[in-house]
Amino acid sequence: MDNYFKKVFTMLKADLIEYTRVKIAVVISILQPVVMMVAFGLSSLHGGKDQFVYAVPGIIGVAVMFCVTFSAGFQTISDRERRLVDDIVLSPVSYSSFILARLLSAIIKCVLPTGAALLIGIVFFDVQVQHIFTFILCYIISAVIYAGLGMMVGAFTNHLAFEGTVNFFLVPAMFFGGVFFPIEKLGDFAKVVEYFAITPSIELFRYALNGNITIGSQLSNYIILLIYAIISFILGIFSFKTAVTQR
Amino acid sequence: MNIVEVNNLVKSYGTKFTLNIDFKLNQGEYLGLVGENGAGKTTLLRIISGLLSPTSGQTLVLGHDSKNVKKISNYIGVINQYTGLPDLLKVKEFLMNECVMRDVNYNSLSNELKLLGLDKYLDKKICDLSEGNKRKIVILKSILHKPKLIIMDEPTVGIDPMTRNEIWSYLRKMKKAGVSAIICTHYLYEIEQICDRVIFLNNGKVQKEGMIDELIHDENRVNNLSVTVKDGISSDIEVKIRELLINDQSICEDISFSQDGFLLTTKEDSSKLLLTVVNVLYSNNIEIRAIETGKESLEKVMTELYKSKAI
Repeated sequence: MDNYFKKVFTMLKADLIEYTRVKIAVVISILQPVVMMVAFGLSSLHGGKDQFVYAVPGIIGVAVMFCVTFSAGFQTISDRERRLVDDIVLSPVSYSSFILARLLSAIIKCVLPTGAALLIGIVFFDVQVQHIFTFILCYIISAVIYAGLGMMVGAFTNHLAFEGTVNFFLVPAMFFGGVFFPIEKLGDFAKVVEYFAITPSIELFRYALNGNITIGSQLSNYIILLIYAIISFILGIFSFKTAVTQR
Repeated sequence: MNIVEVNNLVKSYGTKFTLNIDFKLNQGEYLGLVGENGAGKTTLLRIISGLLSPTSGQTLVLGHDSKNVKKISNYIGVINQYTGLPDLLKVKEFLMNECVMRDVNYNSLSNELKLLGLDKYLDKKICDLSEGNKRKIVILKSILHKPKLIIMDEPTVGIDPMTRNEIWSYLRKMKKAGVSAIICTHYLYEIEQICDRVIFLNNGKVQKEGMIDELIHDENRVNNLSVTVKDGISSDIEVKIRELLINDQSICEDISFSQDGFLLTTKEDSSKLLLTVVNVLYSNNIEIRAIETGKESLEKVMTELYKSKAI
């Protein structure tokens, strides 16, 4: 078991070293959530306080969603393109340790953009974290969901097709999932949107930051997220293994 | 025990292409795979490596079915034509990681690093290295666990001749150590130099196979000796040459004259006729401009296969 985790750690470390050496990629990944936070934050200083308070959990949720999905997906495509997956197949390294390393890597890579946006909110716009444990747990579970999605799509697409395919899921999730306005305003469609992965994720971030939940309970939101995480993780592994072994 | 046993292997891609092959590889033997693009070479190598499943038949690597890729992974090293390295890692970082993956002690690589001339680049990022050095890293990465079988798909493609020689020199050392290899390359000279046996593949089937020496010195093959002279050859000298070389020298098969010289054909090594030809011309005061022997080579064997439409 020690050896298993040693290999996971080695793959994770190599991936993170490579990531940090592309400085521009790190800066760009931080840009989107930070710009969103600053834009909404500025509006809060000029009469948009309520809208800002409502939007902050959504900004965090969207940051996690986009960052982890794209990070895991592009990594999977890159692994395929440079035939790293051949090396994994041809070595004693298990698929699960490789997937775990890539999953952890995607989660860690997105700490920086999410953390930067949150930090700017805290320092400049009076954002508070009331339940840090919920925040961390929600971040991890959400990240697993989107890493699975990224791997799943990345296993069968190239860079161009990947963007189109994941945006097919992520863009509607961003606009309908309660980021900018309460989903109740969607009428009956809200009953469907409640079960989008983004909705319970934002609700739990809302609880972590504002201390209140507007849809369901803490428990129901965790359950929905966990179901998504398990399905997404299993499908991610299955897709990756299928793509690697059936060429 | 055979290192590789390929039994009734079939791999079909619909009606477009079918690979159908049988062969064995002995310990310490280097086998060359030759054929046009699309002949099935890479497909065969990927099946033996366990990266691709056959439609039917069996491939055994040291007695283990290659479908069980994790089981055979410790015995084989695969060097493919793609470098596929993490460009932003330093050479040492990358090799240390690979050693962890293979449960190998990094310090045990010092000899290989020196032999391949990589010890000077350990602190350089992989992206800053030449293609030749990147290829050496791929080779080292593929064999650091001391495999019994090396599978090479175009290992020296796009590499300068100096680096190619260094790589082949290293792989010769591996051969001496008893390692077996299957090599696929378009550089037939390299196969001729390093391999014991060669298989010519055509459209998924074995067109011809044999020991390199036997193929090159095949008794049915004819070699050429082309002679160019300064002032042409008069008809009386032509008769003399014919008499001497055709009638008296049984190794000479045929001779055809042109304005500026003649072409001899022989089933033997054409260079054996060289001294006789020079003597004949010298004794008749004919000035020689050029003599060219049709060198026996695998390339020529393959060209003849093409010419005869057999491949």
